[in-house]
Amino acid sequence: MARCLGLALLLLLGSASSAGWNSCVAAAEACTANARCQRLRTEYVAQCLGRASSGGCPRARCRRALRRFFNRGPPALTLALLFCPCGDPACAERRRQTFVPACAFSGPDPAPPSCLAPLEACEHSQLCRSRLRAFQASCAPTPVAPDGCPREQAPGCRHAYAGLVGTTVTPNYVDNASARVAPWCDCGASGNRREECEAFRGLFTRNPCLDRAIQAFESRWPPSLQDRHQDPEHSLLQLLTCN
Amino acid sequence: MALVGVLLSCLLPLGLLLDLSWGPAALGSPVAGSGEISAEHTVEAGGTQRPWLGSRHPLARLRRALASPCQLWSLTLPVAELGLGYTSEERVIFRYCAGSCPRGAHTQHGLTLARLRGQGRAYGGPCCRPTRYADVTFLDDRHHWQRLVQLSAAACSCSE
Repeated sequence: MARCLGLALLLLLGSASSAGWNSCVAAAEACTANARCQRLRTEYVAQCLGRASSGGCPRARCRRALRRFFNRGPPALTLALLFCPCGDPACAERRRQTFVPACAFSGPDPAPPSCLAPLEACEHSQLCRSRLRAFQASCAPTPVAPDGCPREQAPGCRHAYAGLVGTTVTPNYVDNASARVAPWCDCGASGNRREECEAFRGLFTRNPCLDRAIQAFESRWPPSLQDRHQDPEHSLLQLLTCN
Repeated sequence: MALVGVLLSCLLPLGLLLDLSWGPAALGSPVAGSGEISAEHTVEAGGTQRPWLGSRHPLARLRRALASPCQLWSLTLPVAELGLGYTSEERVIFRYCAGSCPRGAHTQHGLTLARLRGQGRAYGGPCCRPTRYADVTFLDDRHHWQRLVQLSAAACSCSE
């Protein structure tokens, strides 16, 4: 029944507006339709758009509200906002902006810091440290699987990645042309700890397991979402056979 | 086409269940458990989730809305239809208060006013109004976040 409702919801949402619709808009609307998701989403947007006394945005409060969103929100809806599959720049840009990165992701300075700084801050926070460990464990390539990561590991990896959003090592999509992700930092000024820095950044930028897990989110959407020009009678029959 | 008819009758209750508007004439659907308990007045939320499956006609819904007690209603709108100048691909939920208010009074002001109304010396009646509001947020066309503070009603009550 839940799948039927989900299918119906997507069918309804899909047929509502043709221009500018994409899976990330659908994810936003699905969140809006759920009271808990909507409340938590409005809360983090309100916090992240605020003004701090120092002039910038209240980063700590914004990040805390984001953590609450992913902790307490319905996982199917919150993860859909984070991993909605995109085929065009408009969709990808929406996906990139979804957790108000201007506040939660980019640091106070225009240039990103060395990765060693957020990494150290993370190691000093019990919450961040445990989340990072979980991410490292869940998204680690295994020597057994041929392309480095067994399929059944994907949901755990995605969940662990979402757990990093709102910490000092918050990752985000790097552009609106791909699904590549990275934390807000680089390894330019890492001195003699460059290897350590690159290894950490590589957890996001050179991780086939993570890439695969993010791509795999596509296949979890029902076919009516990916193919909007599907024969309407066929979609109807799919709907009716749900009951 | 028969299949389209079946589709409509199947999707309409689902659409209402999911609080989605169906066409421009829709008044939205009532929100369950929206009776507001406030200091001055208790709204009876009896019959909040009336069975909608029977009547789809907008006029029937209008009649039913006016006949039902003061409660919170919910509409799903494209952002442009908020009429505030924003554009976005998202649709948002807009809630408002509507319904009839019983003529009974619960404050001294209400009692006096009711008496005067009965005598034709004062006009109007208690009306259904929001007592709490909620923000509405969305990502606009230019991928900037917008927050419309206190745009949507969150709870209703009859006030004099």
